[in-house]
Amino acid sequence: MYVKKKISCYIIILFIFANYSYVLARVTGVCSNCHTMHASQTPWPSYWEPQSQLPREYLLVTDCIGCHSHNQSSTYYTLGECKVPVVFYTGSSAPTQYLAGGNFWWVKDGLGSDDTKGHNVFLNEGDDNLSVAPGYNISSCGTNCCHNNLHLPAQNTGFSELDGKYGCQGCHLNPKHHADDHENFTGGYVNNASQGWYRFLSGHMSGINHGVEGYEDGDWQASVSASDHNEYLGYAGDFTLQGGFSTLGNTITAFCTGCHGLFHEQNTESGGGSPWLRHPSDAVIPNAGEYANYTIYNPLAPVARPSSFNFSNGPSSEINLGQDMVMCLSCHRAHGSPYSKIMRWDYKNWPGGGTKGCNVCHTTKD
Amino acid sequence: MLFYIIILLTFLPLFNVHAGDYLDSAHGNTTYGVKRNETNLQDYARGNCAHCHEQHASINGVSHDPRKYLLFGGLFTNQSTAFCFKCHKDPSISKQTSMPYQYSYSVIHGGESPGCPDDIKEAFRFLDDSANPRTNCNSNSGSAHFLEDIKDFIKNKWGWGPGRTVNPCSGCHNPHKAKKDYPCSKPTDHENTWEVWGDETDERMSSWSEVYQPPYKVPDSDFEWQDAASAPDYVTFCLDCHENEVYSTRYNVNLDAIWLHGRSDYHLQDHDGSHSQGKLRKPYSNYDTSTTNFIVMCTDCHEPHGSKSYMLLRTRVNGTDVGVITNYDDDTNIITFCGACHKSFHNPGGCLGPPGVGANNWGCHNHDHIL
Repeated sequence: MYVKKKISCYIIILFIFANYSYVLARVTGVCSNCHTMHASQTPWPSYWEPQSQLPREYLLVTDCIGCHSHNQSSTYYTLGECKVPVVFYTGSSAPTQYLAGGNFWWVKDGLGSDDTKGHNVFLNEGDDNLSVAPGYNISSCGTNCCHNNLHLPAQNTGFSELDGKYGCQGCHLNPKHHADDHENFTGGYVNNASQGWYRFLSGHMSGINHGVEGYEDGDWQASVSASDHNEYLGYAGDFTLQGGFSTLGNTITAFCTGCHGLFHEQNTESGGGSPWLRHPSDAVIPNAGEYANYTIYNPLAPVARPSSFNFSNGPSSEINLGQDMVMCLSCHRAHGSPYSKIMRWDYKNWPGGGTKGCNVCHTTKD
Repeated sequence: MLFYIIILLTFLPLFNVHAGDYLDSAHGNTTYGVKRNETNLQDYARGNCAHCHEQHASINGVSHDPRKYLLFGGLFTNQSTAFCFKCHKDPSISKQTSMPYQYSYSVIHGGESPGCPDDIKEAFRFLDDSANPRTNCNSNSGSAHFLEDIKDFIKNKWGWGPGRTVNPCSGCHNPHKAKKDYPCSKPTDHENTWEVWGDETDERMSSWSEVYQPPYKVPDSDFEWQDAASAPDYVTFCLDCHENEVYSTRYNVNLDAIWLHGRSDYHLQDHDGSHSQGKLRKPYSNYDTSTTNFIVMCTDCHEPHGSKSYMLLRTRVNGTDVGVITNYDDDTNIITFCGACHKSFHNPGGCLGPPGVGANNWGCHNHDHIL
């Protein structure tokens, strides 16, 4: 009798989750790939966290890094029916391939061990050189708030949903792996909260109900070209202000200014224009002078698109001068990179060595 | 064999490293280019943009007030305070690592013994911030381009930069393209490609129909431009501004326009033996001066930045140390100056006229028929 009930239960559960697998969702596959009902499996799965560290919130079998790391692949791996992006390669040698955001290998103590080459998201592994984020612009937000650092759990922030968070969740505030956006390993345009926002990047306080909009490349730019890449929303707001979602809209630059807002004070004029005080971000690339030669999208120096861009059509290989914008991610990666200041190229050693990445836009400065 | 040749020709361009304008410039040179003496920039390559431009006004967490054009300092304030002077100053206090001395034209090209001024900032300091003469290099009669005047001129004449965003040094130099041997760029080219002037053959003194003979650097030996064909056409360059009247705060007058085309400027065109300029010294006398039309270059007589002498006149001309000319009526030194090239001439006392006065037929530049 008991066995019959058990079998019936499994059939019902199987039926329920089988139907869910046909729903458009970021993740696919059986639930046990990521969740454990009671944290009591025997034998204990090797790719789960040690049993002593479970149970976890949302019945997860591991944390962000636990799923999004791999010791063989530095781009993505297959977990059941799901492709999982790798943001932390755990191999002993530096990865030669990485996704759009880069890889945390370079900042991890014991591996790359260079605090200039990544955001310090690992617990207790603070930046040896910096006490706060460069361009830090938040007056007070409790202890170890994410605007201050990412390597220690936030406390007394005044926002219960933020206390205790650090690392990945310092930026990816509200992950929605089951969000109804687009199929796993397939690109799609994400522009609202129900979809989880672009790469789960969203805000709080004045940024509540705001998040980043953009086209998510299906394989996270594991393969990348002029016609195969993410697309980012940009907005040329007031260049005398520090930014934020409320003034810059749902842009990646607005998100970055949450911690690096001082760097958005770029000009004495709200509309920008030469002479700039700091390197422009979310400023329109002029169709003039040396910039006029940047006409084909170069993934080394991506651009942000205006709201008139048709994100639903996917990536474009064209640069629309006079409309497209330089942004924070035009020069920097978000997670980690082989280069100082999380640059997208070896800026520091140019000329003589390095890469003249600046030359992508500044076509005569070579 | 043919197959391999084809392959080689196909891929050969890939092996040619393209050095653009900046890498060809003095600032971008990987051997002696810009390298700011700053702890946080020690591991930045020589020539890297960061030595002048800080993208976020912050390096390694050390921040400062952001400056225009992302520079690490203010662009221009006055005759003694300008961004370029942070490096182009005395080597002992220069921001540039291993900054060499920056001697005057008379030293570099003219063969004068190195001495004061020995850096660019010092060369401009014959005038104070109000354009009044000041004692500098033991001279109280020196002269210099007044940077504020240059700034106003290029702003008013050609609409350079809004507000106080104009660097007067840029009136003559493109910092991203200036080369060691060809440091100048025409101000009228600023809105175009703002190329270096003089590095191409049609920008040389040799492109004139008249004969340009470089003066001696060392008499009977070396010339200021050993290869005459390499001498940049500083006539065309200087006239980019000076073919117009240019206001001088120093003299509170519009300086006369320097004539060239269609006029008989004694030192710029039609300088043949028919004029009563007297006999010429070597190397000019090596030519048949009765038939040869010479043209001289502005820098043959004038310093571009500053001089101990009046009117930016050089202190060594045609291989001859000529002393310091204190004023337009300093006959003794004027005779020595002009005599460096001219063996004899009439009315030497009238060789130079006071600025802004055009009645002197014997002026170095024909100032008759002023606009």
